[in-house]
Amino acid sequence: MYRLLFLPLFFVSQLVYAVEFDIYQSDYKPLNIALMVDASPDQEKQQALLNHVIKHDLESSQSFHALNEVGFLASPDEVFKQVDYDDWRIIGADVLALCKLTEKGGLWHVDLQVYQPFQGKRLLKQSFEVKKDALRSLVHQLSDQIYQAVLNIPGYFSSQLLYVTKHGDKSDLMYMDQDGYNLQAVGTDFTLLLSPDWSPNGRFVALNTYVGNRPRLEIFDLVTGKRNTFGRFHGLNSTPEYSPDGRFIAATLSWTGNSDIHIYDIKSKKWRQFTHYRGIDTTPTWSADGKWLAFTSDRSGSPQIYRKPVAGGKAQRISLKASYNTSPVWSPKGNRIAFITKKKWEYALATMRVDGTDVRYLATGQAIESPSWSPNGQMLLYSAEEHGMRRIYRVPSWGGKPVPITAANHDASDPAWSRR
Amino acid sequence: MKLNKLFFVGLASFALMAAGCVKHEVTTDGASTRGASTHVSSTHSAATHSVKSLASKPASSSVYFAFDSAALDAAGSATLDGYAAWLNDHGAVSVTIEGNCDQRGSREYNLALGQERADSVKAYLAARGVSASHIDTVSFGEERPVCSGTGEACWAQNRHADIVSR
Repeated sequence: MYRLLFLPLFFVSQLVYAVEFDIYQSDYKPLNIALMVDASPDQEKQQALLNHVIKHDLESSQSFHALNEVGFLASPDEVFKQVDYDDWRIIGADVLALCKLTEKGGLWHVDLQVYQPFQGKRLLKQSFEVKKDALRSLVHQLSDQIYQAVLNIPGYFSSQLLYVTKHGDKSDLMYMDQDGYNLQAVGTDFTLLLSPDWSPNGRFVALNTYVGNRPRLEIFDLVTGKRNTFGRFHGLNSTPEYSPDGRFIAATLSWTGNSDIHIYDIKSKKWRQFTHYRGIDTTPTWSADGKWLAFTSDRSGSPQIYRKPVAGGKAQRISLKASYNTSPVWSPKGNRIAFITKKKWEYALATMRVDGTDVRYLATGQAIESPSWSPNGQMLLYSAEEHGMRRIYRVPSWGGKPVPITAANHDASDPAWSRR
Repeated sequence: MKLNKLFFVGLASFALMAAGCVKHEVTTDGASTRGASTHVSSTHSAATHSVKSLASKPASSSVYFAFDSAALDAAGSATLDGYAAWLNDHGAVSVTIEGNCDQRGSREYNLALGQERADSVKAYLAARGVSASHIDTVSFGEERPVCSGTGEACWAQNRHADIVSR
């Protein structure tokens, strides 16, 4: 009797959660990569750094799987003299990457070679030099080079992330390398901090904060730490978003009596109203060519995603499915838009084509928010709540596993990926 | 295999029905809100009444909303009628209306929704003779919840606009 009751209930609770969204899964199989780093014995520490960081970068993209070097059939001495493709085919290495680290005149020098053993082909042979204190950033460049040589897509391993952490009533702006290294607070004790957006050149951050219980838009200089207010109107001043050329910032203002998208010209310091709808228009995002803005509007009765030419014209509805679609973010390639969607009370991170077709659900969870694309469009960040704590996750935009990238005991929201 | 699938579809639809029941409660709440907002115009007598004797400051300065809505319900309108009367008697007082949302939905969208709630209260007060220049508005979206738990009882408390005089 007990068993009969218990079993169906257990299954129901499992199904309620995942029932709304069919998570998109690609059939992509990560490429096996054999990485060999050679250095003189007194540079063991640097050698380990290269090994660890390159493997971590490539594996975190979910496009590669690093083979254990215990299985390698050739020694560094042999390989750096002559690559025998058979040695690598036998262990199933789709890619072989060789790095030779030397010290020359106070600089680190790395020779990088990338091979495809099964095709019997060398893809890349290149040398790099860097000052002694900048080895880690060079290592990310090596990851970028290997990724690009194999996949023909630029890497994103030299990029950085921003996010917001809240403690009590105050919020800090956090900065870190894309792999979590170099984590630091670059701006502290904001009273509410929302929607940070990185300028295309990486120096400035447009953000929404509150001073004296009033919202305002500020440009935060990452080099000097200075804060400049550029939007302080009656009502709403929110969701700033740099244009791809860095000349304009689109944002939401409500001094006209309702929330509309307005565009700020950074040079002339002038605002112009872009949408004119009596309800809510918010969360603007620029197309890669800067010719369109997509945004959320409730003009159909519920929040949906629209796009409109920056030069003027009619707004066209993009999102077709579900009754609640928000937070559009245009991909850097321009062909897709990431957004947050809701069915019943379940939320998902999804992407769609710019005409609203081919919706792919990438992740579900509690309070999913704030999509942000990697500079190469292959990965997405978002925040989600777990046991009452917000964390930032990274998921491949082509379908893959969501992986948390911030600590479980540290509030993290509003991720923003640098644009290069 | 096929039987297995059917079994799951059956369970899924049972789950949907269960979810449907929960949702039903939420929608009735919203529906009554919308229905009530139609007899707003009949409350004008409160303002005329205040001419005879000075209106006292209303006990409540908060109005509540349905999910994803900025429409005022009957209780909200009554609260605002009282407040409008008091403000009209105290012409020098300036107020700020703070709009808030529950924790569901997009935070950025909720900022706009909170603003719409504040603006809707401002429009109501202005229509009852309160000088618009004495009313400021601000939205905190879902950033300052009164109740931080989950469930409709908690969320309902967070969907509010407050009239604050500082």
